[in-house]
Amino acid sequence: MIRLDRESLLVHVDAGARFGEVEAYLAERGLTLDVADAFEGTVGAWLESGAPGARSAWLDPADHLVAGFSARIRATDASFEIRPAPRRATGPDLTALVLGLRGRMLALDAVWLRVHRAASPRPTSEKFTSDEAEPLGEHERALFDAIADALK
Amino acid sequence: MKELERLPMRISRDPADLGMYARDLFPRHHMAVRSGNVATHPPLAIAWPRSARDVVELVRFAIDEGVTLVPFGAGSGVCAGVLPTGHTIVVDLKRMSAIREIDRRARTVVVEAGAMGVPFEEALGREGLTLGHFPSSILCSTVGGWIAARSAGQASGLYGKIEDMVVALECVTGRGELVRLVHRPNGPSLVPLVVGSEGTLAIVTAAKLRLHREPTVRGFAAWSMPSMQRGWESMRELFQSGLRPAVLRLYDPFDAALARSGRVRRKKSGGAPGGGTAALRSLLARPSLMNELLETRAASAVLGGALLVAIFDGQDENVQGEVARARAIVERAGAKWEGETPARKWLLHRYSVSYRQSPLFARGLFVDTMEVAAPWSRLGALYDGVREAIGARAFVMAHMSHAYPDGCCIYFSFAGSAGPGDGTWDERCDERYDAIWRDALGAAVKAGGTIAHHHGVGRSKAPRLGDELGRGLDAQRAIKRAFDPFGVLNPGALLPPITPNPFAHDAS
Repeated sequence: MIRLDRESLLVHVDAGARFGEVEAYLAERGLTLDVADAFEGTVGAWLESGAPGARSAWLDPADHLVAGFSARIRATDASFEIRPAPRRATGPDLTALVLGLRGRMLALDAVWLRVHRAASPRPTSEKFTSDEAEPLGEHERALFDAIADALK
Repeated sequence: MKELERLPMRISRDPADLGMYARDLFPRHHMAVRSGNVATHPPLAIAWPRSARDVVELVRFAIDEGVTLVPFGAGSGVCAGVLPTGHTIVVDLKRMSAIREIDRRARTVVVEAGAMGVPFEEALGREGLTLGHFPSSILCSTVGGWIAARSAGQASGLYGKIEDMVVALECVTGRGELVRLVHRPNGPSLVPLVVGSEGTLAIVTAAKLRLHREPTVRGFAAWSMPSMQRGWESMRELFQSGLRPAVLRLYDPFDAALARSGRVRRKKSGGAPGGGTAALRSLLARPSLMNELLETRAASAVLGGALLVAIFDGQDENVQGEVARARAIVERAGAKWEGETPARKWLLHRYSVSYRQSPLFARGLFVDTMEVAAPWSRLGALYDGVREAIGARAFVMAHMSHAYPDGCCIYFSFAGSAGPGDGTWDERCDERYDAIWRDALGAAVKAGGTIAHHHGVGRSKAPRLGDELGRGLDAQRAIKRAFDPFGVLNPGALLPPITPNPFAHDAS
C-alpha cells in the first residue's frame, strides 16, 4: 500500500512494495525518490541493503532519507512505530537498526520516505568525502553483536 | 570514598563544587533554588579527565566500585540530564578541549568533547572555516554536549543539525572500552545511536566533524506575514523549492515584538522584584485572557504582525539570487517586505534571548521553552494543540525555527505564575509548571509530533518517551544494555526510570 503526504513530500509504503512500483506511483504525480539506479526488489530490501543509489546525505544536510517507520524486533516480534518527523531528539535514532543491516535486528513493516519534485533541482552543498567507506571496525562489529543479543 | 584517590586526575569533593555540579539549567531546578533547595542532589565527586585514557579509567572505576557517572559539558541542558545522586561522579570534560587536527583540504576537524562553542568556532574562523553550528547556548555549551543532546544550531537550514555534521566519534562505552565509530548515513553505523543518547551509552571524548568554508556573502530578508499559517506555508515552499536559507524563523506577533526589540535592557535596579511584580504575578495567574487577546487581529496589528526573517549564506552573487527567489515565494503569500533590517538586528542579538528569563524567576514566576516538531501536514494541529494546552495555565508565545523540506520545529516559550490552591507559593508554582508540561507533551503526541527536537529528553521528559516510541523503548533499552551492561552511565536520563522521578513532569 502506498500513501502520499504531498504537503510534507513524504510517502508511506509497505516494506514489501516493489521499488519500481513506488517510483511509478510517484512519477504519475510528478515526484520521485531520486535514486540513481533503479533497484530490483522491495523497498524494505533496498533500505536494509543500505539504500544503494540514494543521493549522498552530505550533499544536503537539511534533508534526510527516512522520516519514520514501523517494524518488529526480530527476536521478540514486538512491533513499534517511529512516527514521521523531520528531526527528533528522543534518544538513539532507531533508523540505524534498519539501514544497511540486512534485517538482522528489525523486520521492517512500512516506512515514511522523503520524495522530491521531479522538476525541481535538489540543493547541493560543497563536495565532501566522508569516512563512510571505511569498513566496520572490530569494536563496531562487537557492539552490533551485543545489540543483537540484547534484543533477544 | 577513599578509593577516589587512586584515580589519576583531578577529583573534587569540595562542597562548593558539589553544589555547582548538582544540576543543569532545567527550570524546575531554578525553582528549587529559589525556594531554598540549592543542592538537593549533590554528587559524590567531580572528576576532570585530561584524556580518553582517563575516561576509560573512570568508567572502569565506576564498574568496579558500583558508582555511576554523569558526563558534563557546560551544564546548559534544560531537561534535567544532569541530576546526580550521592553515588554519582560528575565527569566534567572541559579539560579535554583541544582541537587535535584541522584538515583544510578535506574540510574536517577532530575536536575533543570539552571544547566550548565560541572559542571552537573562533578557532575555525581563523582558518576561514566554520562548523555552521550556532545553538542559542553556544556561549555555555560544549561539542560533547551538542552531540549528547542532538543539538540544533540557528543555521540548521543550510548546515543541518549536529547529527548531520558528525563524521566519526571517539567514545568510551559503559563497558570501559575506547571505540571509534564511523558515520555511514545509509548504514551500518552506530553513530546515530550514540548521538542524542545523552551520556547513557558512552562518554564522547572527541568527534570528527564536517566543516564548511566561512560564508563571504550574506543575504538578509524579512517580511511581515498576514498570519502564522501563511508564514509557515511560505517556509515550507521555500524549502521544498530547493532553497536552503541558513536561518529561517517565523515569530508570532508577541515573539516578533521581542525579536524586533532585540537587546535585553539592563535595569538600574538590577532586576530585583519591584512594584510591577504583583501585577505581573496576578496577570500570569489568569493567562487565558491575555493569550486570547493576543490572538486577535487588533493585537497582532498593534504588535506589527508575525515576522519571518531569513539569512542566506554563500560564497558569491548567487546569494542575492536566492534572496530574490525567496522574495517571490513569500510575497506571493501576501507578505509585506520589511527589508534587511529585522534580519540584521536578529543576527546582532541572536544569543540575547535567554537572558530575558532570569528577571521572571526573580519575580517568583517561571519561564520555560518547549521544542517539538512534525511533518508540515501536522504542523497546524501541533501548533494549535500545544498552544491550547499551555495557554490554559501560562502565557504562551511561539516561533517556528529549524525548517526542513518535510517539516518544521515549533519553539514554544511560556511564562507562568502560581496557580490557586492551599500550598505555598513555590509549591503552587511547581504544581502548575508540572501540569503545563504534562498537558503540553500529551498534546504534542496527540497531534502527531515528536516531544523533543533538539533539547533532548533528560529526566524531565523520560516518563513520556514511551508515548511517542511505544515498544520502540524495548529497542532503546536493548541498545542501553549492549553499550552499558553495568548501568553506570547517567542512569535515569532518557529512558523512563524504574523508580519515580521527583522531577518528572508526570510524577503525579
